[in-house]
Amino acid sequence: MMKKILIVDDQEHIANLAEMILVSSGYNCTKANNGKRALELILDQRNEFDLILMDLAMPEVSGIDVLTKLKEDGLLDQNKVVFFTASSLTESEKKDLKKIGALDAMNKPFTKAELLGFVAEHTK
Amino acid sequence: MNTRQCSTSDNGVWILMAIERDKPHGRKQSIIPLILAGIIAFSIIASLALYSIQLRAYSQIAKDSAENLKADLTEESYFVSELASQHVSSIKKVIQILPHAKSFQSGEYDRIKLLLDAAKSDASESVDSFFILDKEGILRYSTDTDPAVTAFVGTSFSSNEVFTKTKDTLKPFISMLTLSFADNSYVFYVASPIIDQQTGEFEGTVSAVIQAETFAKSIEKLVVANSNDRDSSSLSLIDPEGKIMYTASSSQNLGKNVLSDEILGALPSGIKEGLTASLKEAVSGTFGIYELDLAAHPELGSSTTTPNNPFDYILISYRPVVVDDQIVMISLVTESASLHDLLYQNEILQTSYIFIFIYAMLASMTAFAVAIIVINRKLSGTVERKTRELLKSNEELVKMAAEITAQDKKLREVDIEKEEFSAMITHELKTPLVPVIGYSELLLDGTLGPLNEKQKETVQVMNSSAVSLSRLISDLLDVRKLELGKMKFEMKPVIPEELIENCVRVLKPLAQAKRVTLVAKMNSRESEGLLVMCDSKRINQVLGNLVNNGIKFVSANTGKVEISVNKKENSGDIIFSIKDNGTGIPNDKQQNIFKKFYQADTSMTRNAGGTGLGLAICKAIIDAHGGKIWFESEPGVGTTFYFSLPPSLKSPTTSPLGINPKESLA
Repeated sequence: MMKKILIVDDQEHIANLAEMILVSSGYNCTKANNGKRALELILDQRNEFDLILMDLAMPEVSGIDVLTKLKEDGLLDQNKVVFFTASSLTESEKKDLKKIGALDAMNKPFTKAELLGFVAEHTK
Repeated sequence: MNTRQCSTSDNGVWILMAIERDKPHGRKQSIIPLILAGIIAFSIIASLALYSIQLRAYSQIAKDSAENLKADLTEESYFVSELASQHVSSIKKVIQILPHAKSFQSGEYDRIKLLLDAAKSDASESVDSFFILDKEGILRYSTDTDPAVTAFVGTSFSSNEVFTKTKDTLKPFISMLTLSFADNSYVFYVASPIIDQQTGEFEGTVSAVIQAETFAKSIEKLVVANSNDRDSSSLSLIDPEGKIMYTASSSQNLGKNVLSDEILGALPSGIKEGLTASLKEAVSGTFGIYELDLAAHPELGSSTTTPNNPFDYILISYRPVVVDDQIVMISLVTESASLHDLLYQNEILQTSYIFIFIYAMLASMTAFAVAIIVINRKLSGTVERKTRELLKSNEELVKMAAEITAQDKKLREVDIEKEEFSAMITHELKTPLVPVIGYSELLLDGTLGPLNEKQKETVQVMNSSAVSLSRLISDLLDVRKLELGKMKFEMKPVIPEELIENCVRVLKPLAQAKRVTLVAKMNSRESEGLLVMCDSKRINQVLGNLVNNGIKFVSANTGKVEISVNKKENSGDIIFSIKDNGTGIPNDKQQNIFKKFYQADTSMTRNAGGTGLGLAICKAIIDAHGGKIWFESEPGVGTTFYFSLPPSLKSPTTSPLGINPKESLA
């Protein structure tokens, strides 16, 4: 069964790139170009995403906001969130993200192999 | 410290201080010696003043003592002369009464004889004997029963002074000192004419014979009995001619003239004139005191004083003994004394010595106190001033510290801004690279359709350039963080072999692509159980960087990079080594390779896509771990990089590979 991935990034071509890589490796991808749209898609019961791959820095509703909202609504158990960001996160920054409920985080830019490895690890 | 309080409440004092500071410095310093000199001068003057005061007191006391002595002597002299006079008078009265007591008839000597015997028994103490001369001057009777005297009965004494004086004047007569006709002893006579009561005719002379010594001794007895115990004074009686009637010093001097050299020879030479004058006065009827202060007349010589009984002060009180207007003798009361002894015996003087001492003490204490007060004031002034200066300095320091703190805060803010700026820049620079790297990769692996060779080559350049740029941006951020000390290290015990295995796994594809042998040389026995304390992600970064360099600088096909780990025997440090058989580092460039943006081979680096920051970052990371990084290189043979990490005794709590092995390495 194909894993369902939600890709959230305000930069459309990055979302497209990730989709392209993941689809070519057999993932079922859905895209959202802002936090608000992402929340709508997650809250729609018909969508059961195996992984939510989300940018951190987005206008209006950021990745952290989405995560916080999910945590407040008690939806984190059935939704696995990982971040990808161009901010070159350190280990401690990653730890901080994990503390508030994220599974993991990876840095941008990424190679095809890096992205596939990262997603594969969290959709086992 | 409350600086505000200090600056507002001390305004007045600041002005004072300012004035004080304006004083010439040299003058301030010269005041203390001046004060000391003043104190010394004051002490000397005070001592001299006290000394002169004391000297005056001394002479005053001496004067008083002398006056007291004089008064005493005068009194004694009066007393003696009065006694002598009374004595003589009583004798005279006895004699006078005798003839008048009876109806004296010529030739009635037997009756007179009886009366004389009776009188003799009354006045036996002072009167030696009585005798009667008839009107012709013939000795008719003597109460003295001594044969030497009775032998003279019937002998004429008509030329004797006793007879002639009484016959001529018809008045009582007291003779000078004279030698007794009987036994050569010194006597004097108290005589009275016998006058017929009816006819008034001179009938003869009745006379008392008085032994000088007996007379004087009876007086002395009375004097001693009535005077204070003044045993130092001596009593003398002399007749108006100067002959000694009595002297306490020696009975041998009786009858000798008091002014003769024999008597005065032993006395100071100046005494003769004084005594002569004194006697002249006494004879003329006045009384007084002759005073000789030898200390005031050193020319009189010290021969006058004997070592055992030194005296330098002689006082002689003289007084005539007058009976019926006739000066019959002169009393002399002599006192010789050491004035110093006199003074020393004086309680007042003794007390005054104590006063001198107390004065001196007081004076020196006062001077000392003044000195202390002055110096203390001077010092406290200095201390106060210094304290204020310190307070001011402190205030300035506090201000300065506040400024520094403010500046530090600003700098920190700037740092934070810079850091945030760096992070933002990194983010903004990296984001556009994401699609460049991603799409070029998809183009290259054919996901987006087949490319011809030329297209592939072009896209490859785009991809590797974008990767290089991304790496450069990451490195710059790292350098920045390391420089600011903002790089956070998460230290954990890690198994070194796992670090190496991870590195090999990540870089194996790169090595294979370049046909370079990458070997992890594990000496399991030696490194067994070893742990290093490190931030595994950062050490992975260092290892990756060094291995990457090695792969870059070795030749294809023959190139070989070997990673190994060892324990240093003495310190226990874990040493990683990355050995290659590449071109080596030229000798002239070896010392600079850990510097930022320094590249030993720029052309090679450009080809290999280095940033010039890798080794600088490696060094900073290893330094931060408390380790060392160094290398051995021989151009044409190869290079070996080493770095050491401190060992850990703890067992790994989490997997050293908690990090993502696929994470990008610089």
